[in-house]
Amino acid sequence: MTTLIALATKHAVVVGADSLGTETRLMVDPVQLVRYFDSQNGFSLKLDANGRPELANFSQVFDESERMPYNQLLHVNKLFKLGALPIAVMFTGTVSLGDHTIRGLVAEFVGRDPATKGRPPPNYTVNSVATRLLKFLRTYYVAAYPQEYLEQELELLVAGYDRNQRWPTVMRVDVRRDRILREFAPGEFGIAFGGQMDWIQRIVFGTDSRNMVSLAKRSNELLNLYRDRLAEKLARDGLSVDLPEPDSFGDELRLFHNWSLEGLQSNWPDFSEQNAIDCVSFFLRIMIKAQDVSAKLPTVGGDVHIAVIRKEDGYCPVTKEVWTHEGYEVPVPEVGR
Amino acid sequence: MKDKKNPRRKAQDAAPDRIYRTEREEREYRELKERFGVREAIVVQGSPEPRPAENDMKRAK
Repeated sequence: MTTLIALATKHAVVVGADSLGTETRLMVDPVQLVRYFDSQNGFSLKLDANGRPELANFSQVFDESERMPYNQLLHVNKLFKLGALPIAVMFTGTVSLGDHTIRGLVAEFVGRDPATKGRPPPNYTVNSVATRLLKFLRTYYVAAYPQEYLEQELELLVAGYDRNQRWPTVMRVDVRRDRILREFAPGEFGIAFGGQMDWIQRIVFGTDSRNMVSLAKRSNELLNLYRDRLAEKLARDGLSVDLPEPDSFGDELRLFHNWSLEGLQSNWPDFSEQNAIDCVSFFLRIMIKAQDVSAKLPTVGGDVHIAVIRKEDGYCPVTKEVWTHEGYEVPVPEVGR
Repeated sequence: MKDKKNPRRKAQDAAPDRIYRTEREEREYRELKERFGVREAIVVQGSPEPRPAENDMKRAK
């Protein structure tokens, strides 16, 4: 996993990512499956009332699997510029598709796409470039994962400027599900995250998205319970009424509909470039430091890469992008400048 | 100390605590996240041009 951040302001969009690459594999702890076996009968398969095994198919085993860190790579660059365009792309998830690294595929896309090869064309948008990049990556993704159950996550954040817009756009590209979502349209500002972000979200949103889902689910359960109790009470009082389900009101009864927890209050749109750099660096370091003391293996870490993209002068790395050996350093040709 | 009256505690004793999520839990989480519309971004509507009051102040200076 990884942490990706894109902070869109009126002056620039600042992007950042860590550089620890983690290969995960699906693992099943045999103890998790013990409930399917009869300990009183030599741990043979338990049978249901119809005499059929309770462990009936592969999907039951698959559902018990956990995606666990299996191997790690240091110095994985997950942040790239797209040719000469004022657009950056970052990725989280698998680091390669078949024989191709994601970095290699992005470089190939840059060399082929009409908007990114050579001089910038008279018109392009972040959305159109991201959509073509998704289509390009999907070809390799589908070939790499012919079986759906082997699929790995691959998500991109694409951030930058349309040819004819003075405000940034940020797109979220979900390669696995072949979907693209506009996080910030021109005129919208703020901060978007990709990959692992629980500790950052606790500061920014007041809680993380898993807790938000748990809270929303619990609130929905309580509304349904209240509906059931009310129906029982009415029945006891001699009234038979079919009360509507909470979901029938659409978003109106959703916990986080037009309401949020107290989080970090920031004037994101008016951040200077330096404010935004400091903020992105702060959040990346929170994730790295929090993982240092958590019970799980760290999956965010290594060097941090940050870049500023401005409409007028494009992509500008603000972390040292060099190859180094025994004190000798050379700029990485495709990133440094 | 184990709470023998707590059935959940008993279930946890049967299998070691997991620190990673299963595929089933991950799938349920993604489905619920979509259903409840949980976003992973803070979006603020900007004011692209200075407000009239700001223009007045600039003129006054």
